[in-house]
Amino acid sequence: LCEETTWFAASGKGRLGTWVTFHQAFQAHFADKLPYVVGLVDLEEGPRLAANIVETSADALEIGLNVEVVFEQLTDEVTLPQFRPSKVGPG
Amino acid sequence: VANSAYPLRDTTAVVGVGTSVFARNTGRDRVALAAEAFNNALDDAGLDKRDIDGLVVNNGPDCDRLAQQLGIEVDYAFQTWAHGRLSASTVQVAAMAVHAGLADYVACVRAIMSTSVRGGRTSEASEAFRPGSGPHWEHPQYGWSHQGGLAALSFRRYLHLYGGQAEQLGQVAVAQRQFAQMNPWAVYQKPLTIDDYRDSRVVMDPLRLFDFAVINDGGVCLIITTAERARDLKKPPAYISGMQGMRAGRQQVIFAMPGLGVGAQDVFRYQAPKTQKVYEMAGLTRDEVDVLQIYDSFSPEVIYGLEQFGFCPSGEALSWIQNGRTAPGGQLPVNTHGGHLSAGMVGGWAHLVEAVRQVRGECGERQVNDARVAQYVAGPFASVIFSRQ
Repeated sequence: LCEETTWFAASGKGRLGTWVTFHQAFQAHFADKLPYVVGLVDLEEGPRLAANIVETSADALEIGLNVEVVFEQLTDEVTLPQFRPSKVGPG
Repeated sequence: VANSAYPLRDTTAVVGVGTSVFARNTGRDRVALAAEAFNNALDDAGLDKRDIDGLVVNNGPDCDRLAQQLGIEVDYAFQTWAHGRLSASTVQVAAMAVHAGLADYVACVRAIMSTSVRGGRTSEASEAFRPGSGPHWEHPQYGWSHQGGLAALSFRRYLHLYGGQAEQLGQVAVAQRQFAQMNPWAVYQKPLTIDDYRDSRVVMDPLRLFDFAVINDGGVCLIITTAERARDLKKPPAYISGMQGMRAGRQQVIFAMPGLGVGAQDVFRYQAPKTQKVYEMAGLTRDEVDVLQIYDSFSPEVIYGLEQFGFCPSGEALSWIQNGRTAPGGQLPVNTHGGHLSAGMVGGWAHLVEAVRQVRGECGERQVNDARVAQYVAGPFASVIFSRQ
């Protein structure tokens, strides 16, 4: 690690390291989303992100699965990166 | 006997332990819970509150306010971040303080009202919402506000790396409930079978209901002094023989063992070293541990604790615990009061009390035969070994 960090554009591709499927909501906002998946995604470039794994069922997931980013616009000001199984192979 | 490499070996001791009632929704505040535990610990030690000149609080009221409210005047007051993973470190600080002569008798206190502070199951008020998240790595914007999410994420990776079936984990809850049935102060004492476990609801796949700690109120107090003073008190001293600090760094994550790829960890197969500082300081080997107490807010932590310290071959803890190896009468009794999963969640402090009582031989029906050495494990590698001599 160094003291100076820089921004760069990432490919949005990565692999699923592990995931948890919530069957109980601990925040009211998620009550109607059950069950939902939180995964840890290792981006091609190295950083690891937590995000929901979307557009798939938990049964179809496996560790090492290729995933790609999709952006969920929650409000005018808030957009969350989410991940779904890749339509194409790794970049 | 003091050792030149480790001057704190057996030079301090726990001389009094006390608990409040452990129950859900007691309606009592933290000070009342702390005071009940403190008074019980004084009785246990045969001390008067005027003897107490040190106060260390792990998870509970502010230490200065608590001293006022307990009616004590102390020369040494200290407080740690309110997390159970710092429980072993808190005991270590108290031992170092009495050894250094900063105080003669230090009371270590933990008291919280989990049922009301955290709103029971609702964790919207939790620290997950502080900027940048905390050591549990929660991401509430994705519906991960509960600390248990980290244990579920690490355990799935564990199963992938080492093999095994998620339902084998049920033996942790089953074995601890067997101990809790013999513990009159455990919150949950009803029998629990592996079928009950399999039939319980999935909360955070791969974790089920019985993989989670009880949510309850409770206070605990331990009184620590020097070995010299301890020998003149009411009960046999539980000597603090060995200690090992909590590790931190990229590979260290609470609710995981190294190598599971959560937090900032790399992924690799972990191999426990032959020995660790806590054993070297105590002058003991791992095989001499009679009772093991592992911080267990979520049952995978018991698996990780066994492997971090090498009690079983790497990657084999899930099969190793089957057939009652850690249950009553087993080769290595673990969490003999029932742990957080059954006895009650008091941030590891009931584990510490139980370790002291086991080496004193005070545990009645659940007493481990001729227990001489009890080890407590919390968080990433933090540990304390208590022994009787």
